[in-house]
Amino acid sequence: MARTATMNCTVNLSSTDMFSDTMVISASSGISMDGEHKAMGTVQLDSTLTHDTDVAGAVQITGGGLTATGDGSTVGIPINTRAYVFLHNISGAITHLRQEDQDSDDTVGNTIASVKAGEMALIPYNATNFDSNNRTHLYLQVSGTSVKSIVRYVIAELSA
Amino acid sequence: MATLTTTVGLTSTDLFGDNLSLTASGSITISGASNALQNHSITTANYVLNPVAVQADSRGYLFVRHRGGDTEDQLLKIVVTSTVFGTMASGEVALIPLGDRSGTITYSAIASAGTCEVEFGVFEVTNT
Repeated sequence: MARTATMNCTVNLSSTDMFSDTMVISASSGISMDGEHKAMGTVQLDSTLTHDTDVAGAVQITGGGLTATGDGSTVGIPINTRAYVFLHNISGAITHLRQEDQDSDDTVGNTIASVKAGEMALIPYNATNFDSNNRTHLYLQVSGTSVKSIVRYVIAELSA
Repeated sequence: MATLTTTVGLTSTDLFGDNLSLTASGSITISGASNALQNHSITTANYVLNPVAVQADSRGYLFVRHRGGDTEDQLLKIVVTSTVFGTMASGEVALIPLGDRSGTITYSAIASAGTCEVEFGVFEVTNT
């Protein structure tokens, strides 16, 4: 059984010019993370390089390793599992969070979120595309010609 | 144009072997017509969060706070262009940047059962 941990998430939004009055939102939650995978890291992406996937500038972030293959039955987000993904584009070009192609194992599929330099995200993810093992991988990919980005991420799964 | 100042923080004492403490802050330039902040009771019927779709070549930043349902285990499904993208439990918050450069984007939400109280905002961001 996977170990349970708690992650406290905070989102603060404010703006003085979006509406006629100042907007301030402060929201926080404690999420019980009891899924198989908990990962964090910082990656430097380069659109001129084939890092470890079939798509230039893309890196797989769900397998706990540098290879996009070795799918097996123990890596990737399982079916009927929720996950929260935190992204922070520290610098560089716009970077996409992409999921595995439903029809081709270990192939980069649809873009599901995009963050520009300086932007961040806290994304509840519920996979809709799965490979032959009923699991899915997530990838980060930098977009553009001869561009780079530095992105940090955290992925934590919930069993339901 | 307007500026949305955002901060996202993650903390945990037991997620990894060492304490986790991440904070990211930045300013997001908001543009476009699809900016709104609301609170709504969402049922099992599909509820469109942005009646004015986010334009092609833009992204929408979607803020969602699941404030609770009729019962504790009611989940809120976030739907993007007819596909369930994420599922949130009561009390959870999210800040989601979603883009589809091939067309306009409509977000919606559906309660897994009964009614969920949901606070949400949709903010449009130009990609370039």
